Amino acid sequence: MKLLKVIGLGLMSFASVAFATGGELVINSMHSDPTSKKAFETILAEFKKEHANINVKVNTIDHESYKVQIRTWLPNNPPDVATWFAGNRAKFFVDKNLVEPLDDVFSGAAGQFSEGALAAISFNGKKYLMPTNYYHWGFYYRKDLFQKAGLSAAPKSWDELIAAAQKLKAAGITPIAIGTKQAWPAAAWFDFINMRVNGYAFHMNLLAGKGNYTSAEVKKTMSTWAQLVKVGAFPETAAAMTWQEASALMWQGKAAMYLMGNFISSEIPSAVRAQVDFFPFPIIDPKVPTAQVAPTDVYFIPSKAKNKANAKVFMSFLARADIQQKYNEVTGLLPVNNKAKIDVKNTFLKSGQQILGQATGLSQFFDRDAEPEVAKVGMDGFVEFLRHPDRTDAILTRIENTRKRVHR
Amino acid sequence: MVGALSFMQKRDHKTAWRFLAPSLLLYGLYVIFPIFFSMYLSVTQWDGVSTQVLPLCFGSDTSCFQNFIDLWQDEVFWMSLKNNIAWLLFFSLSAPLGLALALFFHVKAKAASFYKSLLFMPMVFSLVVVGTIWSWFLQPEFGLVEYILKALGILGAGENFTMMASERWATAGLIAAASWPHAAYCMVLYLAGLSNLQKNVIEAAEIEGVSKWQMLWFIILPMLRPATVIVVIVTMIGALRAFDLISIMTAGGPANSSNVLALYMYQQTFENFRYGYGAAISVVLFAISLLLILLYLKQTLKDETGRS
Repeated sequence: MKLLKVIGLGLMSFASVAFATGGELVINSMHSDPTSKKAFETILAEFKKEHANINVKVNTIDHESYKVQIRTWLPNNPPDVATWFAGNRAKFFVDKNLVEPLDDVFSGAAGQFSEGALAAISFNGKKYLMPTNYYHWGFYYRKDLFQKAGLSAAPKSWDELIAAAQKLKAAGITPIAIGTKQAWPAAAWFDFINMRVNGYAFHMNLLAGKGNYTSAEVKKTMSTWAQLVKVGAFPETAAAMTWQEASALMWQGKAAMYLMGNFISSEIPSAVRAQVDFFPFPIIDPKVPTAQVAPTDVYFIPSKAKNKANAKVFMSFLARADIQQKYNEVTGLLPVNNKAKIDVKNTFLKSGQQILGQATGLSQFFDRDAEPEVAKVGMDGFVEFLRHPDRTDAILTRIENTRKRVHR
Repeated sequence: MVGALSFMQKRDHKTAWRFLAPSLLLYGLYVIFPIFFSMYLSVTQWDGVSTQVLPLCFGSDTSCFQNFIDLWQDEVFWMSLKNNIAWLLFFSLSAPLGLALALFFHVKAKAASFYKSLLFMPMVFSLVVVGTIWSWFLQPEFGLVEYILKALGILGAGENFTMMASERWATAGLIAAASWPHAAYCMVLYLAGLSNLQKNVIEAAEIEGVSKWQMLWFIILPMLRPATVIVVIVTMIGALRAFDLISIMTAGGPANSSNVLALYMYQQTFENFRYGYGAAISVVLFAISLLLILLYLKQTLKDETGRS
């Protein structure tokens, strides 16, 4: 029974990777991909230059393992600093008193972080996390395909988006690319439509487990989404494609639009780069203030850390505009400190900074804002919905039952 | 020599236990203990973080078997169980396929060993590689199968090969992919069996003038019985623990339609952090595997003893 063994091993093996003494600073990082690792090393070199007396040790653990292992070492034998996500994923640990408040660090950086960003790292009136970077979501689209279908401008309202989808479809172009082999790309649609229809507060409350998924409001979100599904805006092969494979549809000129995070902008082939542009998710109800999806990476100090003084020094260092700027010059993401400068020649980053700066609220993404179980059932449901919009009620009931069980 | 063991026998036993101890210890630690620990976890609601884990019914009016009650009402659990049964039925087709290949290639020729090693190749690949290759085969828009179907005119210009995007057919694609290396494995097991056949029995049958089918059915298959026992058991276990391939090719999707118990258990435990619920699924899976294998072994042993 190999699989039973896996569970047993999981419980026994994750002996701590971190033990600290004296003038040390131990950092556990999940940024294992080459770009973010390099970004971290860049600012770490800077930190070592400024604080030569602190002996810094970094444990880089691959992203997926980190998410499982943190649950073992955080309560038992934590490092001094750890990486994580903003929003409800962090609230889980904050509620278990495993995270040290950082209000003193933030008092030294007053006015440098927007209200939207601070909302995502504050719980019960205290600030717990140091946000270093975030990125925006929205539509990436092919200007040449729009022209081919007789469309002159990017859609600004929901009706314009549906009209554009119909025109593209008539021209033999898949209107909107999406790959749901991994379910999460479908959830971005729910996040945006729900925030545009019912507002940021309703959305965050729902995902925190306090709303009802079978309510008239959520049903309205789904029926709005269904309008787009029913005009055939999404490819019927979506469930067999990863998000990268779906983006290839757009680079090959088979699909015209793609709702994605800005990480896609570094993957645009140079041959079509000039034809690709960005527009924010259209307005559905003009009365609802505009919120955006902006997943935020953070650093925090575990409450059982051994070298908290050094860790606080590191947090103040991370808060600085010049450091966030250096960090994100490598990551290609947006710095959260609003005094940090970005590469103005990168039009995608510029649009991102603009829409996130104007947003009245920032959500973290469905699977970070909702409890993992609710997120899984929800995202699977959204994938099913894309093929069978007629099953909306059954899907919402399933999500609601899971929510009730998780938050009982 | 009825009664107490002699001194020598006692000493032999002691020595035997000493030699067994290391492997028994490891077996206990990595196999027996996790089995019982999973059974314990299945009556808890451990989230993976809390340091104290008590059964659900401890000091509350929740049933200890709440996880199993939830399982009973869980659509995805039944879907996964149904898919596991489909796996048991259709994955076992790779056994006769392996037998056919073994019979075909059981000749002494250079070309035969060349083709045998070609066929054996997928067995050497990790299932992750097999899954990735088949994902590309079956991929709509860019895949080889779609390309061939379009070249043959079976699919029109605007049409796509949607097998892996279909709730109905995704499992079929997965089983086809899994059968590719498994048929080769069955072939090797049968080839080993074929090389151990008693030649005099076959020669006697030839002199009696049996037909080819009679030879296969009444002479060769009964003599291959030991190989068949192994083939059936590895196939059954393979079907029940199907995991890596599904995780790579569909992750259980679209919308859980191709999920199986092993993968669902993993998702609940390590993605949703419901260790108790995941353990409950593992207990069910363990019970099914144990039951099937015990039934099969019992039948086999009965046949064996009835024969001799």
